[in-house]
Amino acid sequence: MLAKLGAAVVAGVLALTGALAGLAGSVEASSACGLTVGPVVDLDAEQAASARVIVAVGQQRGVPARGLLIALMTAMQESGLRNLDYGDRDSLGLFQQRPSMGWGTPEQVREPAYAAAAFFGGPSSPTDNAGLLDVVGWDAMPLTDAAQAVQRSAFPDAYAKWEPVARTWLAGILDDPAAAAAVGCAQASESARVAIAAATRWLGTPYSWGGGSLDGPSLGIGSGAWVVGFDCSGLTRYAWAQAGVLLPRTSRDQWNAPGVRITTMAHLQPGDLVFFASDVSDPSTIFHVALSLGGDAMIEAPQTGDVVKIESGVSQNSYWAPKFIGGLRLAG
Amino acid sequence: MKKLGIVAAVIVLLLVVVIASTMRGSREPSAAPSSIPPSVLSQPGQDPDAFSPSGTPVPTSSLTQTDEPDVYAVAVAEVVFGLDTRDLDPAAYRDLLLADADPGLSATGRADLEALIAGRIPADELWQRMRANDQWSTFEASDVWEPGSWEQVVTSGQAEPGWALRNVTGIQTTHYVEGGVEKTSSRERTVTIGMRCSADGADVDRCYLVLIGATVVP
Repeated sequence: MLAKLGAAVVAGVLALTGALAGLAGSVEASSACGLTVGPVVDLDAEQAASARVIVAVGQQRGVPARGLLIALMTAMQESGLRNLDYGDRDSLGLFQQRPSMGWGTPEQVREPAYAAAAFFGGPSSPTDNAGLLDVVGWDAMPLTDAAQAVQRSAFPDAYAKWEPVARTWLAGILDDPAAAAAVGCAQASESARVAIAAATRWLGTPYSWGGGSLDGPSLGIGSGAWVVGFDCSGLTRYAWAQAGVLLPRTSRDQWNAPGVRITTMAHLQPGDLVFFASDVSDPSTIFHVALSLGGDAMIEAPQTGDVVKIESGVSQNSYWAPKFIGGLRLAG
Repeated sequence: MKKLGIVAAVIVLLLVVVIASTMRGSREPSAAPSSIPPSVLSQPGQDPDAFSPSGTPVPTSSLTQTDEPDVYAVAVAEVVFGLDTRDLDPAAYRDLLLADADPGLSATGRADLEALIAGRIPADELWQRMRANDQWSTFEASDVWEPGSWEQVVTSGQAEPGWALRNVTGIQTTHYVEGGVEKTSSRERTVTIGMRCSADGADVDRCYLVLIGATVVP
């Protein structure tokens, strides 16, 4: 009993920390694709969540696997893949970026998605500092040299030792439902793969009530005013629009879109819309929609203050499971 | 979406309740007042040059011995945010904090506290990089308060006598040398400290450390 309580308090505190940091959870759950959303080998939950955010942000920017590998090696060396709130001089966060050197505010560099985006750099970089994609010839450099070109570390040789394990992490992360569905899960239609790939591109993007257009994140309204992002139905509408299926704007209207109704969560396939209602006998009380990654996992824009993320273990979730009213398999 | 907000609030409350449960459960039921070991580092008259088990000198400013939760929480926060890498090492800070752990903690409760402290102290390799920059920090507390959600735990009978939770906020100023030039960087920091202090029914004569929150309890 005492051991359970002890573990519970640590897990609870750490879980809340992760939530505040906007990190995706990492729990065991089987998808309809027979793949697993779960721990990354040799990484604990916090490290695995950090690695997943880095990979997702890189994929959003079209960074090839070599770049993702460099980012994982760099973050492991700099922070142990932990979102540190201390560091060398004024360094902070996953990549130990320094606010005094123009990487962002202390709050920004401690936002994992921001930190990863700043590391990758490129046209959509949140900073003026040169990131990996801005280094001429980065993709032809030795991995550690490319990392050093961004980090300018006093210990430039320290990144190399992480290459073998980082390759393992990357392979494990890419073998998850989102990635699998995006690149060719057998039970997902081609349209569903396109929709999932489109949604996955925006992992880490802020929730914004009323936000989301057919072109991507947009300014919301009301509580979402001044925030560029997606709300739940804005994300699903955007994602399926990329596959050529135009959905209505609100979750309740999307419930009535043409398609096949799915009544049990276990039968959800990648790309299905997943609906939640305060009264599961009354579709007029639907308040949330997400994009299924198959079975127990979904990608969603959850609520104000949160970001687009993958929710795993939905059927075991005491909040979501009782509110599942059904799914919809779109014709596409 | 408002309902999600309510759920989030409930989760936070549940978290606090879990903390309360753990604080209760982490005590050894058989701990008797006379069995309380003194804090190694905070005993009056202790040699200020005493060495930690790791062989490095311990900080000369030991944790304040007090029965005032506010004062104790600030003292812990000053250690947590007041790292000095120039002469000390991570083990010294770990030892300083653990030496003031609640003597009634079970092995599991102590392991939890050790894990939380470990998450607050830079790893050895990073520490060496910080030391190379002559890096040290100070913390000036500006406010200390009892988290609002803790009151609900107390009123619902979840907290045992002496248990207390405080949030401490203030400014951490980090000093370092870069290119031969002394520089500083300051930012606001907040931490949640859990402790057991003397009270009717509590078998301690002052405050002892139970929890350094990995996040701030609202």
